[in-house]
Amino acid sequence: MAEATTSPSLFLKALKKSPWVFHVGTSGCNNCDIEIADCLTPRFDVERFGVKLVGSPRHADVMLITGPVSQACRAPLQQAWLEMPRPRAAVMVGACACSMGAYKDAYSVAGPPDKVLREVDPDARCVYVPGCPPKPETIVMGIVKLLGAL
Amino acid sequence: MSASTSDTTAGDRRVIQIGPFHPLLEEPVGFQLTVEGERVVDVDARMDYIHKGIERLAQERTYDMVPILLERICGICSVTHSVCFCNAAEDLLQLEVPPRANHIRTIIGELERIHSHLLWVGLAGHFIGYNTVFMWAWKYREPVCDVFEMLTGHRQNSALPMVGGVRRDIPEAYFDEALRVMDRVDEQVKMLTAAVLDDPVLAARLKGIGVLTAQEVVDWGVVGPTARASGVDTDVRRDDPYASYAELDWKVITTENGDVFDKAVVRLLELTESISIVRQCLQNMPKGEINQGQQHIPRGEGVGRYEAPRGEDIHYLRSNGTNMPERLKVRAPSYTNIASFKASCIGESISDVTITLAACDPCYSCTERTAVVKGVDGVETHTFQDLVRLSQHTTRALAREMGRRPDLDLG
Amino acid sequence: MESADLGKRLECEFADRIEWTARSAKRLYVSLAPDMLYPVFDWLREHVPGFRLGTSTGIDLREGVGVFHHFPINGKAQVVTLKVIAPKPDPRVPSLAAKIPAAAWIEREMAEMLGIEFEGHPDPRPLLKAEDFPDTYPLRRGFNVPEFKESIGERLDF
Repeated sequence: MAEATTSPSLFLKALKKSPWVFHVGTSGCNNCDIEIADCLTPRFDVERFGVKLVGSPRHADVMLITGPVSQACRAPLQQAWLEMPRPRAAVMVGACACSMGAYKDAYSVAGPPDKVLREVDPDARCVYVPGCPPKPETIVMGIVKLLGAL
Repeated sequence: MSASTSDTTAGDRRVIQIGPFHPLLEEPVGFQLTVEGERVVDVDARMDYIHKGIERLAQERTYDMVPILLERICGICSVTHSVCFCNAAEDLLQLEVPPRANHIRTIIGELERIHSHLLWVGLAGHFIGYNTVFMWAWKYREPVCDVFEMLTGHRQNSALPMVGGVRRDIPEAYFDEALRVMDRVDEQVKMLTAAVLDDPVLAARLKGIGVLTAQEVVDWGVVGPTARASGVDTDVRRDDPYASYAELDWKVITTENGDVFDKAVVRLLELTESISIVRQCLQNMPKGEINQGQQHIPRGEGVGRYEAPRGEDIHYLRSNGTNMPERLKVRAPSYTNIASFKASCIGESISDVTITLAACDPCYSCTERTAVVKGVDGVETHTFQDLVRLSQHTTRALAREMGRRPDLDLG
Repeated sequence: MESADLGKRLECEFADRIEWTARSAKRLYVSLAPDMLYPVFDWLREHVPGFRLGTSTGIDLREGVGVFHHFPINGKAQVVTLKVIAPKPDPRVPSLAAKIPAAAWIEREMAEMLGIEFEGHPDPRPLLKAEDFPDTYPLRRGFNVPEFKESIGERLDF
């Protein structure tokens, strides 16, 4: 699982112990979004790591992004990212968010999301969780690794 | 909710814009509701947020790659789209699928229906504030996904269907465990169904809202449980059978009232039928081949139909004799079902919009679309969360009036 | 009406005003001139219980732009496909949305993907294409995805 190049420990120190997460489903098939929602259910229970899902990017530390980003989603995604206070990180969940997945030749897709974010924020910190979809355990592992809790 | 504190223009008529990112709805869809007071007078949807150009992509993939692409139209309807495409190709070829492959397609198709309906039950519970139902349904959905993974290697996208059969066999070593899971889910579903049918708050909350008449069902091309709840007796598994449905013992569920309550009941009762179908297939698995090798698709055309959890999926395939489709048209059930919100949401109160929309079990990914919301004077923007909260509040108020707890007691 | 009969009834009713392109017990494919679309549709709707619009396929053919309307019959294994071909460069077809709400969205989609005009459509807005999508038709034969992406300043490099 890859990470961007800024110093991990500095970033993690700046993060709250209890990271607040804003989930953005761009134009994906929704499978990753359902597996993310699964992380909240009792079997996986990501809340025990202090992770909380919030309803606005303004309250978030981490943005979970799924999908390859349709042309229509590009501007709303960029706007949501810019509304997040620093320090902030994006977790790309699923093959589409990592690299366009099955949609790499599609005409209506602007992504992948890391490219879309870096159009407005070249230093956007990105973490990648591949899978199609990744299992909830993998997603939780991705978030936990980001937090350095392991 | 913020709507009540905003200024309005043109008397009491307001336009409420929702989207594009809704935390619990999970898909970037934009709806525009025009309301007068508390009543919805018009609805429009914006579909460009999800458009991925899959039909175009399918023309640039070989027939062997297409089912794998189509699994990714929609997170839940993976078996649906890949088998429906195979049905279209097999219609074109007039090719019989071997019995063992048909049973495998049936098993994975019904497992998909089971976990899809359970997911819906959970979401519907959340939208009206019955959080026990949400947690329960999603908890008991997990073993079904486990069984899918046990048998195919993946929780949702198996890559099994191929033209003429399935790519790999499913391991009989896991059939006993799968049957045990089916038994447990069956008990849980029966308990939930009885609790729902018995609950006076649910009846008061959900009966009579979001009604579609049988005529509206036909005019709007509505399919699936949404149609069957209005008494329209249509199910592709019985009408135009594929896989093993014609040989198995199961029934089509219809009810008469066409309201949200009936749509929930149809899905709950279908769960029991699906569990029975899976059992029958696991217990009577035919021996024999599972596919007929790569098929050359000559010039021609075919129409494939499949009963997805949300209703009829229909694919039109046209071949020009090359190894890629000349044209593939995919129409998932949500395409027509969502459009029917014009008939079911208009006249409803804002607090019933979320559950009315949810009652057709919309899969926006299947539909791949939403329409544009323009800036209009007097437009308020809300998240779907606001509407969900309003819906939950309405349930609590109703429960208080009736002197009951606003949730099911599932022990 | 039984499956085999439907083909015969259509033949009786419309004789040489329709052309059969293929016919089997479960799938009927009928080709017709644009001005025959309404009469055949009206007849089917009146005489076939369970008749409904499933979906429509827009397709760019050598001879014109095809609009194929697929009508499954509820309760039956049957699908009737009515094919209308409108000549390019300016293809126009009578709108079924004017007669049945189930056609509203699919005709909007075919219009924006192929550049067909549906005459009489009550609400002919685009449905799927992003607001700033250039004036081009993704399902037309000449549409080339890498060239298109370059023309809007994007590259397919993944």
